[in-house]
Amino acid sequence: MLDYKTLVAKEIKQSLRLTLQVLPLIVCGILISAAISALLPPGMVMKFGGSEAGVQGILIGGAIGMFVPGEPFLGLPIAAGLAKAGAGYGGLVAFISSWALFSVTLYPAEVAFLGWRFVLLRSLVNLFIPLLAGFIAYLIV
Amino acid sequence: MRKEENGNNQLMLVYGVMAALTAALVGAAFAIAPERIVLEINKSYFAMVEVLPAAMVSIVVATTITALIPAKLIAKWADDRVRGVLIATAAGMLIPCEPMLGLPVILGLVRGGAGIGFIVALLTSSKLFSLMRIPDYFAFLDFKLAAVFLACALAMPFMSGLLATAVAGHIGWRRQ
Repeated sequence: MLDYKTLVAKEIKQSLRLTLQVLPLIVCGILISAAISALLPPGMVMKFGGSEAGVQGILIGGAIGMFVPGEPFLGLPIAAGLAKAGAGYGGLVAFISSWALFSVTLYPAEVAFLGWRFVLLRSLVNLFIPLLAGFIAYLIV
Repeated sequence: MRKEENGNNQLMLVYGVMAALTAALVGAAFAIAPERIVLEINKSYFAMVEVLPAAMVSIVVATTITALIPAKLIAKWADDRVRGVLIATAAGMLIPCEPMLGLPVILGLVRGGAGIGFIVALLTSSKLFSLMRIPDYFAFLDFKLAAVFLACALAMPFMSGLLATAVAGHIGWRRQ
């Protein structure tokens, strides 16, 4: 017979231990996010990403998406700005996919919870997504 | 005992790398844009104060609930076959995309024995299509761009889940 009280007590203890383990990494993630926001103002990203279209735009969009902090109030307004600056749909879809999947500021928490082996594997099998999704958008729009 | 020691060493390595990266980037930001970094750190402080209490509760609740789900049930539904990856692709929409809220739930499923294809599809789907995130797409982007993005990315979590199963189904990927 499973003793649920013991199980819950054990899980709560482990969860608190996990919280303490991930806390320093979360603080690092927040500081990294602040530093990248300070070093890469949205205007600079838009100037760089809005200038190319087509397949080159997909590659550039996919690459710069990784360096934009993961918060929606940062990444999505940049995507909207790139659209206004004339970026093609392929590059925009690649940028949004890459930002959602690979934003550097989201990695510390993922490593803290799931371990670097999983994070590396997840990143490798997701690598094709910005390129493929961007290419589909480029073809259909 | 050795397993725990290995885990601690890995954690120390991650702490070291993250501390070095943080110091380098924050140092560069102070050197290049001192006013902007102070402003960004102030903004981050308020974001952290808002998120941390919810995150702590989420970690305790999510890991406890998932520990109470029998491992057999997780193994039955959260496997690496096509059905499991499809379920994960759909279920990912219900997982919050905020890492501190969503990752504890995913960690609970990992500990319960879910397969790599299932976990990759679930996490990818939550990052792209979390119900928490979809309103943001339509709020910040114009309707056509948001719709094109969602349509083009729709099958991606399923594909990456199957890819993960194919390339890494037998690799020891679980955290030690």
